[in-house]
Amino acid sequence: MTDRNDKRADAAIAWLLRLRNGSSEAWVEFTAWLEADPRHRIAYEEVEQMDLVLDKLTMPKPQATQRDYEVWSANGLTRRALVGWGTAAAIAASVAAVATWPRQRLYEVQTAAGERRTVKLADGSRIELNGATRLLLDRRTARLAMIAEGEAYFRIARDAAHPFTLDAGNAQVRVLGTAFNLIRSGGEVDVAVSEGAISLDLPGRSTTLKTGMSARSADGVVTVSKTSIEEIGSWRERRLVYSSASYTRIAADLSRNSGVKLRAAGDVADRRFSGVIMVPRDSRELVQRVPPLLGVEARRSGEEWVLTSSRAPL
Amino acid sequence: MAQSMTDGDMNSGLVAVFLENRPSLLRFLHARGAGDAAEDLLQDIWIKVSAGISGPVAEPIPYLYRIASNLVLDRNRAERRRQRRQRDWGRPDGGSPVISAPTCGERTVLAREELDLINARLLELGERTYRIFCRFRIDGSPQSDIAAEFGISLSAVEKHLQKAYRALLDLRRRLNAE
Repeated sequence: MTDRNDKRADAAIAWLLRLRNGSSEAWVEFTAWLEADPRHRIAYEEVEQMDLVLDKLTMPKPQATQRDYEVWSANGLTRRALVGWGTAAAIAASVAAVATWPRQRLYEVQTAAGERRTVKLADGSRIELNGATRLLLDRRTARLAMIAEGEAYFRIARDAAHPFTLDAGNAQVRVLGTAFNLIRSGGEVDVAVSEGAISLDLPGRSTTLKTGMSARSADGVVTVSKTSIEEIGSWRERRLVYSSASYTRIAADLSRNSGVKLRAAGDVADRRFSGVIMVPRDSRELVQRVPPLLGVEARRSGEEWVLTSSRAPL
Repeated sequence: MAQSMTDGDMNSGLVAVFLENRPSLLRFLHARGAGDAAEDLLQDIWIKVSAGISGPVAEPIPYLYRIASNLVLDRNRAERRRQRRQRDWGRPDGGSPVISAPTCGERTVLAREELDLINARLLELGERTYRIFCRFRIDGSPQSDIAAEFGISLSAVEKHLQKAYRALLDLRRRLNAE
């Protein structure tokens, strides 16, 4: 993609934004911009097409929350929706909607929380999906995948001529033939390499991760560190290994691994934990055994269990 | 001199604005690539406007341009669908097999997947960008209101929106890459 192509795309976006509540002058200037170069029209049409899909975005159904949010859906109807920023899935799909981005080659593989699935690709690569994970694969090539959400352990067949690319949004991973684990959740990405090396592109930082190295991208900050190889992908043995991880993250991991919805309450969300958590298969055991390890209590709230400070003894 | 306006008056006002701006609107339709259909589309706008369907319009000229823009969009979409139908169902003699179109069920899954990807991508841009995007694109708030709500400048709001839209455009390109 050339720079000029990029500039045209950015200009087209600027026009789309400006015209949303645009003045008559804006429209006249827009006409002149379109006339200046046929590629301007093409750039604008692309942006306009992209924008059409966004019409299908609506706010989610009411849930137990923190904030009151008055919402106009795409149809202009008012809905009082209660939304917490902390809940990751804040934009819900309208299931009746049909994609207007033509993509016939891609197919989806997904798991429910607590479920596991292994996908074998045509080139011999294997991808083990943890729970609550969505992966998009390409019918035409085994060398391309996208992870929308969740965690997977990748064992990629070696092919020096055709690098494998994993699109994880902010993070783009390229490998020749390697084993690594990746989590994409709540705007954060965690990658760890257990075999071989990967090339990792993150905003503002491109890096090569070798065996035993991991990288974490959260809130615009990228941290690279060493990780014990045995710990990488240990979720497959129901072992979660942490080094100063936040309780928000641990709650998300436990939810994904067990199918029990767990959330860290405000008072414990920023606490840190280092150690190993074994995830019991039985959900009752999980709710009984794991919170004390973390020095918290689990209290039921609707469909969720909330981790919160232990009640002081009377 | 105070005048009370009836619906008919308001309608004729809009019609007058349309007639005054007819040449500019035609020029715009051509610039949008309507080609030979430009005159027909202009006629469609005339029909909409003279039927008097809309209530009072605060900004008549932008309103007319918006109608024109949507007409071109609809026409392009119909054209693309027609081409896709020909491609999906047409079998060239001895030609290569056509990749089958997704079924209704598959398309629903793809649609949901797509929106999940959009959501995930927006989340990665940070809380402020995400919320500003939602206010603008889902709630329909004008940028000036958003600037006031967040206590930032209008150009700061524009930057957030530009960033969000750019990220989604890049996502769309990656999804469609051949």
